[in-house]
Amino acid sequence: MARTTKELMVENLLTSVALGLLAVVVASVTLIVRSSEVSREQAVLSDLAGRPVSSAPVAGADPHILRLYRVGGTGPVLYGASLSLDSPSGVAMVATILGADGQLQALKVYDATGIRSPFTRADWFSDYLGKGGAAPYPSSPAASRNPSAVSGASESYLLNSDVLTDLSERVRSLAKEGK
Amino acid sequence: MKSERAAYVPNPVFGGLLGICPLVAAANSLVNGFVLGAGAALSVAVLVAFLPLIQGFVPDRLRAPASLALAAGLALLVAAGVEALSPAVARALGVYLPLIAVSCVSLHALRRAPAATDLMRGESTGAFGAGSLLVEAALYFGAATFIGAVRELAGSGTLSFPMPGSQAFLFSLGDSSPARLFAAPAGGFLVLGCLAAAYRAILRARKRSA
Repeated sequence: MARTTKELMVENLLTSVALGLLAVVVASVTLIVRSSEVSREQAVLSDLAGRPVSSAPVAGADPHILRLYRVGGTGPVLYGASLSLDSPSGVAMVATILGADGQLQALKVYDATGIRSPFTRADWFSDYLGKGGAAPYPSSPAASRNPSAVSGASESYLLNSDVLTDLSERVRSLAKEGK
Repeated sequence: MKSERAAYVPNPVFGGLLGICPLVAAANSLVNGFVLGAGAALSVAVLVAFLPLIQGFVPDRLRAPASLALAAGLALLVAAGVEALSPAVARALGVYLPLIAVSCVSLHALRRAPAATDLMRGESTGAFGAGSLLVEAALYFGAATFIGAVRELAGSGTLSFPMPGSQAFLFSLGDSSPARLFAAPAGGFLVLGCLAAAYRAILRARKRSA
């Protein structure tokens, strides 16, 4: 028996409502997850800086520089950033603290994949600390103080240098704007 | 010839080469393979549970888009769960986690959906049912985990299962990386080809001895 236009409309409407509910569930879960991820990285950055960070990021939306915060409290102007660094053998989520001059002051890996990843080596990031701004990051593995840590991971070393250079530039630009 | 092909069906990955894209591209470590396999298996299980509802209340002409929307929703929920547990693993898997891992197997589930639904309604019409779909999901999970483990062992010389906040590992060959090619997508094809060949050889040998 052929269905009337009214019946077809009701069917379409019910299906749309069901799919809409599914969309609401997915969106809610995604929002909750994002919010807990942001809270976690803010906690790591606060621990690293010893001061609270701003509740809302001052910049973000980059594949590698996920979110950039201004560190609050009294003391010198500091910025905190959450980074996603790639390597052929894994990914590391890194929290960094930079001064207003773009210099990297502290860094902590708070999640990583792959035990062979260079990020899991304690000295991997030591060459980056204290660099940025006027003192650029090492542009090649040969400039590293610890070539053994670089062995087999030159690609990620150079990529990370690029990410940290971009971060340093963004921090200096934000500091200049007074944000 | 037909009977030999039918014997390859049981394992969706090694026999049917189903849902292999994420396994070749992203399952280059034990944890990546485990997450992809578990996400796909979980989604199939939930989809199987919801299919009778869809087929009972959604009209014929809207069933396919509704089922696909449910599969996509499940994939996104699994991706959100992985992101909550380990952002690094979610980033390492990238687009393969929300898009491909689940939809391949889910589509396979949809192909057999009518039989499953009939069984759940008590109108048995054939050998395939929800149970067989769940077994296939479990086989997919096992195959994905195994491929990830083999690729990590061959490509990085380790077997690791990092948890958030720790670097726990199960086994390491030392500082050497035996063959880094196996961690790359090209190595994924090599491993999958070898395992599929071994699987078929075992099936053929069993068939001869039976």
